[in-house]
Amino acid sequence: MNELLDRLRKGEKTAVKQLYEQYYHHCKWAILNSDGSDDDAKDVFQQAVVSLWNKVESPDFQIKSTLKGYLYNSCRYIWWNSLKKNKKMISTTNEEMPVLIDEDESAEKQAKETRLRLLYACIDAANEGCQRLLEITYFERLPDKEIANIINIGANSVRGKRKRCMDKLKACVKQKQQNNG
Amino acid sequence: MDNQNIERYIRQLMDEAEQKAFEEEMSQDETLQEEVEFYEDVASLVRKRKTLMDVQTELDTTDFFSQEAKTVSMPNRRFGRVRSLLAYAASFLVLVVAGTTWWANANYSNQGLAGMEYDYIASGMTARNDGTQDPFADGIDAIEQGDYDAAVAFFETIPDTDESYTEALLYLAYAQYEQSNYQATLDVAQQVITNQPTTSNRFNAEWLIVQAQLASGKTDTDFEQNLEAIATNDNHDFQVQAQELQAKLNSLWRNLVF
Repeated sequence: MNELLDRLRKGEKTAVKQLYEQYYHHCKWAILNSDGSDDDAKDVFQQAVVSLWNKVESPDFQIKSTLKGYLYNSCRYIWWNSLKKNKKMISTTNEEMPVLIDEDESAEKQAKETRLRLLYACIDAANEGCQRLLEITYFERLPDKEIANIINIGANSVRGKRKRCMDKLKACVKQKQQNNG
Repeated sequence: MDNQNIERYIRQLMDEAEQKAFEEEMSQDETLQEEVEFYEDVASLVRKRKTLMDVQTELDTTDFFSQEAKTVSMPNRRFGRVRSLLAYAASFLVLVVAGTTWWANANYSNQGLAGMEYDYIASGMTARNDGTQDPFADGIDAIEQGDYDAAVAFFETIPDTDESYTEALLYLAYAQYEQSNYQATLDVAQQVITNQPTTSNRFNAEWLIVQAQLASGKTDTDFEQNLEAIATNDNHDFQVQAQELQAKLNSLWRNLVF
């Protein structure tokens, strides 16, 4: 488990793939048995992986049980939260809401976790143009001149467009925080 | 605020001197620190999201996501064999029994009825497979081989901190039932229910309690209520078996049992 988490911490794609191959279908089972669909399962597991990925970057992060159990409970918690927010009832199970995992995390860490979760949702919901621009900038790490060629705008416009994307993300996160509060 | 410097810092486009100066500026300016943190978070999450999207795309090409969800079901082939064995044993008993009264005693006594086969489909149990070997493999093998002493010894060692402890208790209760240790079966099966199990595990435990009560002759009001609760629950995995058992308990042959 530690080796896998180390590789995840380094951002290795093979680690992410391994998480899917080993643990996705258990999460899927939990979602399908709680009135969820295949798409819900995909979405929830993605959120669970991102949450885990964010946490492993913290040096004092530890999983007390097994990675499978951690991700499984993470999926259940994310799904139940989603149902609660949408005020949907679960008809097929009598199970109570899963306990928030990492309950003993500090309030500060939990707040950061929430911010990152909201920010990820905003990035996911951003328009394709912003998503592509941010990917080329921060994932492919290309210089602005090349970015301008790829997305077919003037070199001087790249920075402005990126700033507008960032401002939209900020506004989105703020909106979601207000909705949650 | 000058976002250009923030971007250059995040994208590591500054030389050493610039970087030092910028970090010095950050240490004095909390608002700048927060802005830099925001840009770092965006950069980090964009990278993660892209990686996840790439992985999902790769897996999509192999129909990965449309595969069956994994439960902690025991492979059907294992308990298919047990079920077959139980079926053959019941048929064999019927064939060799001579005389109507002896046949009624063999099939309608408490022990006879409690020997009814049941499907032990453990759907809903939490998976524990790490991709290499099921940690419960030895215990399940022992059950399959009829070595219930070994199975009990195995499942008794599973600690209550184990993520699949409730499932281990269910296996333990089943093995104890096969040992004819009915009181232990009742105690452990009740513990399964108390542990707030999955629906499927609860159904298995409830049916096991009925079987153990019947086999040990505890066919009092509690037994009747337990059986009735299963027989009238349309969602229960063992509703059909419970209704069949009720029918046999109320049948004419039952009256011939001594």
